[in-house]
Amino acid sequence: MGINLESRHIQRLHQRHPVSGWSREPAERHHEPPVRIHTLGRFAVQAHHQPVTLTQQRRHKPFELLQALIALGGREVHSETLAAALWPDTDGDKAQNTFDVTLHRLRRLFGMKELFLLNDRRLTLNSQMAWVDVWAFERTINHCERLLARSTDPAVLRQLSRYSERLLTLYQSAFLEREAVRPWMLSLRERLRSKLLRHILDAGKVWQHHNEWAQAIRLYQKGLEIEPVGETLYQRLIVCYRDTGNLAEALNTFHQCRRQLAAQLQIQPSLRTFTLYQSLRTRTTAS
Amino acid sequence: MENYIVRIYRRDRTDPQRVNGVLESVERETQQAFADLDTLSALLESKLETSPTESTCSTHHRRPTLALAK
Repeated sequence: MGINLESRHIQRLHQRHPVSGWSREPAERHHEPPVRIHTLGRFAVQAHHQPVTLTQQRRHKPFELLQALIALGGREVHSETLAAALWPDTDGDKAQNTFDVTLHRLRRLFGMKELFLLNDRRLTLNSQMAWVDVWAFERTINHCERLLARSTDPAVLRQLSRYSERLLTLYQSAFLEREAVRPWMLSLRERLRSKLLRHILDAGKVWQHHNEWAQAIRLYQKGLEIEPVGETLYQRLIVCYRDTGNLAEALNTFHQCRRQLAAQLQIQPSLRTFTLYQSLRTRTTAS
Repeated sequence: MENYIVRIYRRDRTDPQRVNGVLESVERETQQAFADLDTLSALLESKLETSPTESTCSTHHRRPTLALAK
């Protein structure tokens, strides 16, 4: 009896204060949330497996409100913060009214009462009802960090490989990359990009250490898609190709690095990159 | 408001002024390289001078916003 009461109490608490998607483990859910929101690259929304679309440009604001809510954390974001982000040139009261109308339209679009929770003027996207790719990305990358700390265990390495692959799948491209740029997008966009690049360098090092060259190369190549002037990525890639005997690819990578640094930063590769290049030349001559 | 992202790719440990990076203009989707902090400062100053919002806006003093990324 006590257990049932407690469990009902917890259920009620969950309904009132849903746990944010940010903090949860990347475990499989027992139920599939009815709403799916993609923001990494294309912006797409589905409800019950059907796309939710707005065709007229002037009616785009409800989606912008949803995007801003996600960009600003998704949980208990103050309506004033959202209104200031979306209508920066509108006065306080008018902006609040516009916020209320836009939220009403957004709710009507989905037709799910509990999807957007407004308490004390703070708006939450209910993580029990919505799957958001950036939340999944953050959960997965946090899990990867914990796995990297125990990367000497072969079982952990297998998990790392799986979750790392999931990260690359989730990160199609930068947050809301195809949308018109807004200042409120930038912080999350840069944070996710930076986190993925950090993961690529950390996980790549682990794969190199275990002579899992293909895994390391795949990660570094993905890293260069995100950051074409990341010299450390080029250096690591050169080492991977060199140590697997693929000298031609190693040399190509060096030249690609030199071209990119010259074109985008007007600089030469660093001494360390040139030293790697020399090691390639020595091996090419010897062979 | 104008938004810029400063990406720093290389630092000279012996000379803190020598920093290689790019200044990205978010709205214009352009980027310019710099090799030291003076050049970065000059690039930002030139943006302020050429910014259309500066000349048309009379009620607010708009300043560029910087997001630092490394």
